[in-house]
Amino acid sequence: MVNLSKETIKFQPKIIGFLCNWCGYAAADLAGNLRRNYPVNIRIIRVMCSGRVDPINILNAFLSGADGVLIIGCHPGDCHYLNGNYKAQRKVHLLKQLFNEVGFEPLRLHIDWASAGEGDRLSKIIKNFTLNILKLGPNLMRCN
Amino acid sequence: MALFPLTTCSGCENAILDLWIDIEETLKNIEITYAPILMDSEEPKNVDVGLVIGSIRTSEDLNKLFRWRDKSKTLVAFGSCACYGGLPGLINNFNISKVIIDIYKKSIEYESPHSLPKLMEHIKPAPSMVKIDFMVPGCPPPKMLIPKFLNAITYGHEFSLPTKNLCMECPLNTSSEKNISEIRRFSLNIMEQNKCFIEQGIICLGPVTRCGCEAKCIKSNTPCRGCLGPTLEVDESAMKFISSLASSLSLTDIDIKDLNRIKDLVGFLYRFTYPSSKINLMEEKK
Repeated sequence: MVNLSKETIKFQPKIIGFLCNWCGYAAADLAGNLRRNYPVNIRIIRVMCSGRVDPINILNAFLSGADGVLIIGCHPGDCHYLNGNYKAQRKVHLLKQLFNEVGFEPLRLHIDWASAGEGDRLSKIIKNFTLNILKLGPNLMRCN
Repeated sequence: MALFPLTTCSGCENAILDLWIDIEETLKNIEITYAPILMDSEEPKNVDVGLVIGSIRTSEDLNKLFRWRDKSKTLVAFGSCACYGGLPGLINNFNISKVIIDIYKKSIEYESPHSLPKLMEHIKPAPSMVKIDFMVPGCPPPKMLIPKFLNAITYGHEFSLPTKNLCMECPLNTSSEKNISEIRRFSLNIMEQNKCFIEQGIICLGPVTRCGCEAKCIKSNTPCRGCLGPTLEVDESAMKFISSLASSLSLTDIDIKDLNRIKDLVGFLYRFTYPSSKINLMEEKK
């Protein structure tokens, strides 16, 4: 179990999480009930569907100093609104391509799937993503 | 009136010249006191209307811009280079010193008194450096827009740019649901006539570009490149386009790796507007 407390690690990543109401957010609730620990670096924002997340929201998050952005949607085929998660996956893919071209680390953006009953899986996803962002270091970009 | 060129290709000045016959009446009420492309004259002490043309590439451009702002009662950013940074702005994606060494195999010497003006590290759009009173975007501004604008400043009419996107003027707009089954490169061979480019999988920036040019490129069988820049209310039009494109892709015919076929996203989405975009602020300081 990695110790991510302020005493041991100085750089505390700021991670913005867009969790869809029906799957991702419910999974986070379940993780809480099951007492599954995950790092507190993530700030969770509930959206009705992962497909609602606009690329401008992700860009603004990074320009405001977020070190990582995580989007959790329903598994492919299980979206409450049928295909919102597919749209989200494609938006994220194009955005990562764009980040790569401008020299911004595309690994700072990640999209994953977790159903409402997978509290354990969600806590693992958040833990792994936080560790990855820790390895990548702080987001040094400045916003005017 | 004066035409104030910075680092420019002279396309915008030529666009005005092209309209000479059409704007003959208006020109009778305009005295052009300075226009290096037309005539040899000293810089005037002040003008009523100054048209800034071109992008700010060197320190001399910046000094000129400050000087001309002081000399002009009304300063207009004419053309996409002046409004948004323009096509040369794409080089902001690279380190300019490294680019010079790449091309010329040695760096520029600035020490001698007769040397070249210093290159700005990044091209910044003119509105971010001085107060601009009007913007007339376009590469060059479309011939429908220029007479309207010149009439407005000559006779004191109200002038405002159109607020809708190009789809409103486009003859191929069928308002039908887009379901892209294949992402294709624009080529005259495989295109279907009279069908919306986006429906065929060809990237056309019409949905995120301001109208005003009466879709002249579309009428010449070419997809829109977005030279008039974004509409007013949208924060970052490229992000909107990514959202729109991603949502219009077929669920069955398109796979994620098909998206890798779009090779130059920055060039597609920010061809004329890179310096004025939010993503240009993304530069991890190494």
